[in-house]
Amino acid sequence: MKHRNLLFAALGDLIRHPAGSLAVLGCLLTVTLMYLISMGISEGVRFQADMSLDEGADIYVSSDQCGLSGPILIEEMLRRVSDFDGVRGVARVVGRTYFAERLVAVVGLDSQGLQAFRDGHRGHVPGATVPRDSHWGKFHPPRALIGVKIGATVPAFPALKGPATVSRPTGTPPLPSPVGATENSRMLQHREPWAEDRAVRQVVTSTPSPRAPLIEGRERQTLSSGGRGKGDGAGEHVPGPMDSKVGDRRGEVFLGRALADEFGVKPGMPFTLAANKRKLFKAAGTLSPSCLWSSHVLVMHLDDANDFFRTPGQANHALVYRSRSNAGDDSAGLIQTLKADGFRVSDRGENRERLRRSFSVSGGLHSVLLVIGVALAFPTIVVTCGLGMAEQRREIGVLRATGWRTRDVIEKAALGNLVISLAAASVAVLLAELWMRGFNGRLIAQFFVSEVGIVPSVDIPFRLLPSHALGCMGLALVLTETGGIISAWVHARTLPRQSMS
Amino acid sequence: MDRRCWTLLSLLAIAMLGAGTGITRDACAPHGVQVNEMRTFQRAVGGLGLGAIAVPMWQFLNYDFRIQPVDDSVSWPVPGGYSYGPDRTATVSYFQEVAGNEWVVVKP
Repeated sequence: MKHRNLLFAALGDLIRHPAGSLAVLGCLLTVTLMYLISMGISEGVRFQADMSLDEGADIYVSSDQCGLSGPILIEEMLRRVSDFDGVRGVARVVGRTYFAERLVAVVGLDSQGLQAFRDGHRGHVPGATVPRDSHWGKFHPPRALIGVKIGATVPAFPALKGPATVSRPTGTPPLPSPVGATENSRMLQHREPWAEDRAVRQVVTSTPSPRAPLIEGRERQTLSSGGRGKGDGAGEHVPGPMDSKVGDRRGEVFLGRALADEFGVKPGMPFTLAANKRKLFKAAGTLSPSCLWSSHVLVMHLDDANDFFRTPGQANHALVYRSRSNAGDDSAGLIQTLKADGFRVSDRGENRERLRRSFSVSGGLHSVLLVIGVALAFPTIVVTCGLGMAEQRREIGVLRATGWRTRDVIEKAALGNLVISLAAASVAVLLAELWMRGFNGRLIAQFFVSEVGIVPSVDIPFRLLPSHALGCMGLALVLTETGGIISAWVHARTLPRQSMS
Repeated sequence: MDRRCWTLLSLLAIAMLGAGTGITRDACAPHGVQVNEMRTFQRAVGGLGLGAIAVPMWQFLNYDFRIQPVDDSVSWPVPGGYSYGPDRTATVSYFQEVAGNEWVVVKP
């Protein structure tokens, strides 16, 4: 009962001095809100970065070019990776260019990657789902590595060498017939071995997966009987299972939402880029703004990216995916071989460790900023508390004269500060959530995430954890209790007659 | 006074409850359409983006160190040896140039 009465006495003090209470609350909010927003954005970015690592490739391979990551020759990498079991590789082109006056990232993907925008499938290694001795664990060159569309007839690509003439080794067991093979037998009889493998793999990996409406714009389209358009050198073309999807054709590009909004690009609108005006693109759709790195990006076909950057036969990376079952996974041998041959290889473990250290560094920077904030906040709090110093001294004198002990006075002051700290922390969390989720971090996000602008057109990553709220609460408590308890203790030890005078 | 105190305590409880709800929602494993979209995007592109920057302005290091693990925008010599690239500052992430296992010292 005594503590309850002290709490209510402290609340009464806060109510009787609304200006002082609100001033302290405002000071605390100023410090804690910035702290919460920076930590929340940091945690949000880390969450998305972790997802990028988890859902990305297991191994990234590039060449070493005078200390920098250089391009790889696709066919050479094809030969190297195909010697190992339990791994599958695809090529990817990443670069930068200007879209009007905006700098954008350009990503060139194979057909499966483009299709994965709709399905969420990517990175499945056949060896993970079928017996190893079926030889599906071997890397079969995906279409992207050799520039052949699935379902295309070989004579349509007379210029291709090597991979186009690869056949299954003699003595290997026949591939099992995929579901629907009867209906598609006309198509399958002209395909390369890995085209069959892809068709079967589609069946094998057709387990339910989260289908997210990542792309807005045109939906699935069926090619007309004419097949691919003019000018791509395709010639005769038999529609394959991957061909009837939007964005799977040459010249079609998915745009980040920020670009589409800024320049009013609609699906189906043709455009060229200054770096290579001969190359005509057509917007196939816009990407959802949910991911930070999808806002200023152009996703196109690998061949288009190679044409655009004038790097035929090259890719920035070989993305290597391991078998999920670890059975027959020879990725360690692959890494060793590639490193010995001078390639730059980074696996997921290395990248995760580097990411962890990098965000620890930024966490350290936040701590430094927090210390500076606290140092600036101390005088503010002291001044604020000192505004009612004379009145507080007289009140404590009265309390002491009516029989209150020193520790009661200190407890009352501590409870009042506890209430105000709880209020500050709670309101700061609510304001941070409102600002970041309700207003998507307008005005403030650009200070923590570069190149998103004053009004971000991408969802700003934000995630608050209990540790952030506890840190915020601790900060508020330290700030208030330090000034409040010391002054209460000093006044409580003064004679009541002197205090009331 | 008692009534006003109870009102103040009630407001405080409501604020704490709201804050707790928001934090719990954030802290628990996020799910939903947005996360599925992120996952789909990352699967499709094979993992793109790690740092707190929307577009690689000066170099790829702070955007995604898997693409370019070194800062190729530094024009040496720079006083203090620090990169002037805006990508490297004022964000909540900072990726150092780490040589990793580039240097291998072999004892004779």
